[in-house]
Amino acid sequence: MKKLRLITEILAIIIVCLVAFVGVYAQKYNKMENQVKGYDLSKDLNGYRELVFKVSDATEVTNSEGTLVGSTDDYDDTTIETNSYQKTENKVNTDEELTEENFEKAKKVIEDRLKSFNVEDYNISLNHENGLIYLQIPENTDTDHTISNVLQVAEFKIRDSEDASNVFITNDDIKRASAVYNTTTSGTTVYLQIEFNEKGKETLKQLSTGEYATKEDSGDSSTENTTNETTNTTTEENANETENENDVEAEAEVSSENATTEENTENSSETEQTEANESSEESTETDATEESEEDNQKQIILSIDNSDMITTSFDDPIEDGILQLSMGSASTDTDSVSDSLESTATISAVINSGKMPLAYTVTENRYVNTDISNEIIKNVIIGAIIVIAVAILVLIIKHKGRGIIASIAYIGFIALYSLIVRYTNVSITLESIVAAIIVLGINYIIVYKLLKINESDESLKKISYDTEFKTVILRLLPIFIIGIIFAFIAWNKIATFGMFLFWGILLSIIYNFVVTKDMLK
Amino acid sequence: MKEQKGIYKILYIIIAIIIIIGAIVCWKKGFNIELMYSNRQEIVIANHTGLDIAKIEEIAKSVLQNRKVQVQKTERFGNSVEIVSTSISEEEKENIVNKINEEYGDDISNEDIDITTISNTRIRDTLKPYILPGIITFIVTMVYFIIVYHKIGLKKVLLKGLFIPIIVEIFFYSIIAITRIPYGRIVNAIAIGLYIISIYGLTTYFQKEKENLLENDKKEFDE
Repeated sequence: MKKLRLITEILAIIIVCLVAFVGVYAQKYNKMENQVKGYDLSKDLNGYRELVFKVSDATEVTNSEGTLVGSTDDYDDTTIETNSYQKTENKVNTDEELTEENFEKAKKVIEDRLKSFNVEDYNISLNHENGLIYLQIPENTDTDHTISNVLQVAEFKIRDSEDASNVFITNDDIKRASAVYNTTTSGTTVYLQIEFNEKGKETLKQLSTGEYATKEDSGDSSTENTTNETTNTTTEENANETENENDVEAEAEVSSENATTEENTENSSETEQTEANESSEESTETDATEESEEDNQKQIILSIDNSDMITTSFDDPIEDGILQLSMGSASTDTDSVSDSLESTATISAVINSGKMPLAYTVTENRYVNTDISNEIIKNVIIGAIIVIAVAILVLIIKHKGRGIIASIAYIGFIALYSLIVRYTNVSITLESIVAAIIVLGINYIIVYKLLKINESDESLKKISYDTEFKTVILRLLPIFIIGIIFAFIAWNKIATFGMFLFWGILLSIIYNFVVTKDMLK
Repeated sequence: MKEQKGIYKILYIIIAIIIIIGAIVCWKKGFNIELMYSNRQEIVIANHTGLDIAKIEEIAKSVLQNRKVQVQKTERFGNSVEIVSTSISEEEKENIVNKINEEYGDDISNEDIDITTISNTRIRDTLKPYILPGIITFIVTMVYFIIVYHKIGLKKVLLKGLFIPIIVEIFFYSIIAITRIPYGRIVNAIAIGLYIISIYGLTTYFQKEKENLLENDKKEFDE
């Protein structure tokens, strides 16, 4: 009975080894494909995107009315000519702005944005003389999205709609921006929620109660309605004009805590109203605007990077210092809501990381293969196999038959460990390889100790095993805790190290208690 | 026992000497930083037929003598390589391009290739992400040691728990500085592994001490 059990366990280990080391192949599109999940390699082992950012030497571009619309980095000569724009002599980065302090600040903003976009495994360096920034980020599906957003200046302004120089609120007045959403019967509406600091709150209160408050006879039905409609129009205009700010996508922090607040409900019902009346109001909209112009209704413009997002006046005083801007109309389409939420979250992440003190341009953008070649990896694997083989040989020479069984169990552990790290999506970094080596070493010590237990009396044997496992757990507990803490650190190298350690120790204890112990009995 | 103590003393002296030498080397020469983290210049060369990394590396090393050289494939098509070195002059760039043209029968133009200068990554920036997790886990481990092993002597636990992981790390970095092994990604990965091994070693040591203590107590009680 005991023999049969041992044979079954050995067979099970062989199967696990085959699955882990050889794979399970099935025909797919006329070729055999391994169905077992592959390893997820990190930047150091899989290659990376290499980027060089140069301080922009572009000049400002204005429209026919003299309003700043962007820079020569945003528009080529043809676009400038087509839109009747004009190049100016004003540089986007003045010579006075090109200081080491601003270079450092720009690097810090880029780092903050990378963290917001969940890019944890990056390498950044700065040339303190000319501000050139070198960046390496992992190559994946989000890489282009990260690149397109990381350099945005994110200059936030609330200004008078008529007088561009009359700026009331800037980035310095923002406490926090976040993407929130609210779901009603008509669908989900996504909002960009901007929370202002004390100074911004006070300014906003003054604006919303002063001359920018909606005049009762101006014909506006609701501030939010105006806001929503204007937002959509502005976005479309921008999309036609340029491909910059408003085509951002996102994945940053999404807060839904305010989704159920009274304020949101109000907004949403107003949005609903907007939608319902959209077609009928379309024609009267222009009339209403004209009417408000006639009434001399003063309005503010909210803009990010010179791109006007909203032109509006205030129906009600804003006393809590929170402004919610609907990003498009309510939708029941999950993909559309998700896209909208993503783009809003990106805008909020970019705003939260602060304004870039200087405008930068991408001068180099290429994928670079890892410098750790296949040959190095092959040599490391061969080296590891030799070390494991020697270790196993020691077990066999010292303990003969039991040594062979322990060796089989040990190989089974390696196979199972490799499957677990693949299916738990832990990426392979240099750090995680080190963690795996530590785990294999610790597992070897455990197996070696279990082999030493050789009592013939069953009850004595049981006590010895129990004592041994108790000792093992006590000795592994501190590094197991370290593994858990590391796994929660938002830095890929440390996190993968922690995860490898966590899964390895957990598996080692369970596997040896269930499998190795049973086989050695 | 006396002999063992003597061996330990010699060992401590050797460790102390290595740490002092390491500190002096660091102060005088600094670490031998991996190319990826140092001040460097790079050029990217591409052709239509494909470039063999080994061959390009040979050409680059023959031109950029006595310097660190790294050649990596760029993009996905295998016809573009990046040559990185501590410095590349215009003349050297031309030389490399000419040799590649000769080797592959290409007519890659020198004017199309720019030399990009990249600044170093500061050592403190490479170590920064490790500091917070290191401190948190160090505190947690110390608290664990104090709670579980205070019986073997609080002073002993505190001293060994505090100093051994720190000395292990300093010793490791001293070896790296003295042997001029390039400081970089692999060194940091090994350092974090050594930290875990030192904690595991300490736990094993404290556990043994505790078991001995309990055994002695039991013996005394039996007597």
